[in-house]
Amino acid sequence: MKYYLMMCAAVGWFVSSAASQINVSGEGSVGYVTSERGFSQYVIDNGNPTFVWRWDLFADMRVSDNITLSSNFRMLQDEVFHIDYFALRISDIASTGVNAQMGLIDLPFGNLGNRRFPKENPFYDLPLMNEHLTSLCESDYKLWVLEPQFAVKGDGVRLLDQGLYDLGVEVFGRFGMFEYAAALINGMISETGVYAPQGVNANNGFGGVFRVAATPTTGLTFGISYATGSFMEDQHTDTNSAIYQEDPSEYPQHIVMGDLDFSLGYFTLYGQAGYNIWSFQNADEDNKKISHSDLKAFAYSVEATYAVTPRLTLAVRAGGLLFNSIDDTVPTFSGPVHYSGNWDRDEFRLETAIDVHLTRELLLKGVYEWNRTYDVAQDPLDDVFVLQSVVSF
Amino acid sequence: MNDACTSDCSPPRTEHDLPIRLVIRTIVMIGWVLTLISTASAQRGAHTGEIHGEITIKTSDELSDEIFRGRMMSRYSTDLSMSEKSVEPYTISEKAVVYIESVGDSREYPPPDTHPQLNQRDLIFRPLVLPVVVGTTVDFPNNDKVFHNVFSYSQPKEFDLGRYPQGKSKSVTFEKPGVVNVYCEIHQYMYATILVLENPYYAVPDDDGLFVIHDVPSGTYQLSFWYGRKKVATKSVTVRGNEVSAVNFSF
Repeated sequence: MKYYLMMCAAVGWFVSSAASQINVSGEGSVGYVTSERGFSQYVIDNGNPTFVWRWDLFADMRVSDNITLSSNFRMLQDEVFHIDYFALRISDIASTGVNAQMGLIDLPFGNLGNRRFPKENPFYDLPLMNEHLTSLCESDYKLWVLEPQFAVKGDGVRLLDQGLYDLGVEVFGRFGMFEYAAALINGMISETGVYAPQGVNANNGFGGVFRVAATPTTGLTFGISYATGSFMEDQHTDTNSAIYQEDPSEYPQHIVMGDLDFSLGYFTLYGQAGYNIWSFQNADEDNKKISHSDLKAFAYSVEATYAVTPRLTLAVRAGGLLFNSIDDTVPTFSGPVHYSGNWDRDEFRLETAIDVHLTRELLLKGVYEWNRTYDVAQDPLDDVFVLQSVVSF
Repeated sequence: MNDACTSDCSPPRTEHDLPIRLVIRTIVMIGWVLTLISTASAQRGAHTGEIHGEITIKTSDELSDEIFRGRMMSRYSTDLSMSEKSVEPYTISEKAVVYIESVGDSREYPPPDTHPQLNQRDLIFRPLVLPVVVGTTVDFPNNDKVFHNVFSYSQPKEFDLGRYPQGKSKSVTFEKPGVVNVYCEIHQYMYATILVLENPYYAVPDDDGLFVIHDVPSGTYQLSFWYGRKKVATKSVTVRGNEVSAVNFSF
């Protein structure tokens, strides 16, 4: 509580003492959410209809002509006050055209951009690849797929960690039609450092994130991103690892993703497709205790919108996750288990949305999510319907 | 047939004809008199004057500051290299308008033949305030290397031009008077106002804040001063033929 009061006081001080140098804006949203009463991670509140809310405050301060300090403060109905983004940005360093930002930064991976926020996101959720919790636990070499209680409901890391914020530094800039970005971060795309104890680096190395993109013509951008690094917490000594007695930080994640951004007239299209490897193949070579298979995932998301009238936009998004098969003997608490098959369930989500701007500041959304889970005896009932209002200021 | 009727076959005039002729003459005379009165009245209406004045700005320009800060801090914009370029701040001629609300007639004034422009350049709209007469078509050229998407939800004119690239221009005709707030869907800080006015009696000040409204019909009017996002002052002004009326505004 003391922390929040201090934070509010600090923001208030900035506002009052530097009114001409600060932009304060934000978004507030309230949603009515109801899902089917099945059993999956997409079911909300056990299928009980519920109201949800979210509040984002953006406080951007201009330090000098080429230095700004930007921040996002966010609260959800199930979270305490949270800082997503707090970065010092320096533009055109020494007239080189190179820019930098440091602090809690947004990772230069893919083309999510402003669609992180409810006002710019025509849907309720982020793309499936940013939302789906896989069966891979973040703290140990443990495949929840072997634990019956998690057979449907994922409880592990995401492929991309939602809004993609992490502590680190980034340099970025443009050369003609090309843009580039490179960042060093505490954590990794799937498990950002903000979850680590005390929010500092939980590994003995940094994650690296890189992106290059080209805009050959206005409205058309191709990008490719790559990230590598440890996604699990360093256990310091091998024996600290509960099952494997190995240091998880030795086994990195590699992910490459291509993205496409096209728009013209009243039509926009965003596409992303990525291939990811969580490396395990070389783990524990000595005693062969653990899985010899890499865990791989292919993910895609395609999103299109069309502004039918000045106030009405229709949107559709399709996204999927495909996981590779493994054939291994995997240790569990109850002893080695041989497993053959996909290490997680393939998923597909189709979302449709109608967005209506009652005013420029007030957006109403109606969203329906069809969720389909494969490789299960019966697809769980977990479709979701959302009505959401978003007010921006 | 009467043989005497060779050149004039009208019936012979009688005493009863005299009042009829008198009535006709009277009507004609009255018509002439009314015509003369009407002409004289019209000539008096043609007497016009001018309104001269000066605008003095004393307050800080928060709207422009907001726009330029937003431009600089556009976080997820891929146009950073452009936003780094310094841009000229708005001059007073780009953000102030002085205009007569109404001249009390229902006359429709013809729109100009040329289309005024609301430019999209350096990731802002220029000018910040654009006055036009009802019926005017405004062009919205994109002079930036990136897309813009001009739209408005204002009641006098709701429109969405979609995204279009550099070198292209789209147009909108404004048929109703009122305030039209214009935005860019891509760059949220971009903002401009189109003032759709009932009459052409308005002026944009020069860079020194001086303005002149020409050919204003004689009469007493409400003169309004628009600055940035809103009308900040209204003053009463009486215009007499061939005279100059002075009105100054400060804000």
